[in-house]
Amino acid sequence: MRRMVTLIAVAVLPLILGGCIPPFGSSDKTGPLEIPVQRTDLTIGWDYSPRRVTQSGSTVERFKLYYRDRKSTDWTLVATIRARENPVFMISADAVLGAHQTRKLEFGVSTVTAAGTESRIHASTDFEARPHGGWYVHWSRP
Amino acid sequence: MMMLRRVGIALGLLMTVALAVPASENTPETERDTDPERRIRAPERIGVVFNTSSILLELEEYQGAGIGLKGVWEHFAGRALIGFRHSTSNETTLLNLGVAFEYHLAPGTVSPYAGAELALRYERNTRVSPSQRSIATGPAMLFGVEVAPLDILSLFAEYRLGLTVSYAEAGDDSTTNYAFGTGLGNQGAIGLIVYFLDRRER
Repeated sequence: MRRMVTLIAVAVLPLILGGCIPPFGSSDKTGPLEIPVQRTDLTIGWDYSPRRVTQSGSTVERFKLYYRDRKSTDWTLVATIRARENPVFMISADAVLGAHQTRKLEFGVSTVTAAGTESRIHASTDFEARPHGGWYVHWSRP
Repeated sequence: MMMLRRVGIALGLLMTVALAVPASENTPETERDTDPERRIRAPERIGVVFNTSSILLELEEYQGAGIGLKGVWEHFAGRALIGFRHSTSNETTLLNLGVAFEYHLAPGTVSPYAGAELALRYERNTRVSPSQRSIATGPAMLFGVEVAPLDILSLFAEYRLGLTVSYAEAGDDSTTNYAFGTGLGNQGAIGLIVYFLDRRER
């Protein structure tokens, strides 16, 4: 039995891990996932669990939510949000589309500590974002 | 792309060799076949693993993903990660599975180790439109130190170097991505192990 498990592990696992057998479905495309949106607003959420130990200078007090055009380098601030468990924020199409009918947008979040230090921006296109591999929104006015 | 696949296959092979080593250590084929009691060696110590976000030892889920269990056999140790969550409030399903093996170079109060890890994370979200699902998996090499000031308690800190393959789909769009580096988001890990079973002879 153990030999069979070892054989399967030696033969199959490397193929899955090497990308020869996709876990499910198949895609030759790499890069972040495009999420099509045709709505007047969009709610964005991210994981965060406040510390349970007493306040200190490194305690996260606020989040800053940003957006930018796909593959652009400059972020635009959308809002500053007070830190709480698993925060969400609703963005209206008017706030980010401006005069455009459609736009491909990445979003990003940074933390600001009690001491005023801002972290690097965690972008929706980062590999660690969820869905895995990152995402961006292709937003069209309805 | 082919290069990444080859790296994945090589790491996968390394991982599976690492998986096979603890079972064969000190148990030659002939002994295992003739002595049923030696077919499966029970771990000498079993513990639960937590991650901590800081030196203040604020306990969190193991790797932020689930329940961690650890078994110790002399120089070898194995860890398992099991995590599952389904929420009807946001219609999200999460599944985390992982195994890791450590070889302790010099077991003792301060015990450096090297090892390998294989993790799988699956997520499905049907609340959003279009619905999304994604899976990320990959092997990693581990390098760490376990410090055991007490028999029932130890602290560990480790680095990871590994390959992660992710597949994600939403509506008609799907992508496959690869990442190779020191960890998935987290450059390392600090954790605490509480041993609740100790069979060692004293």
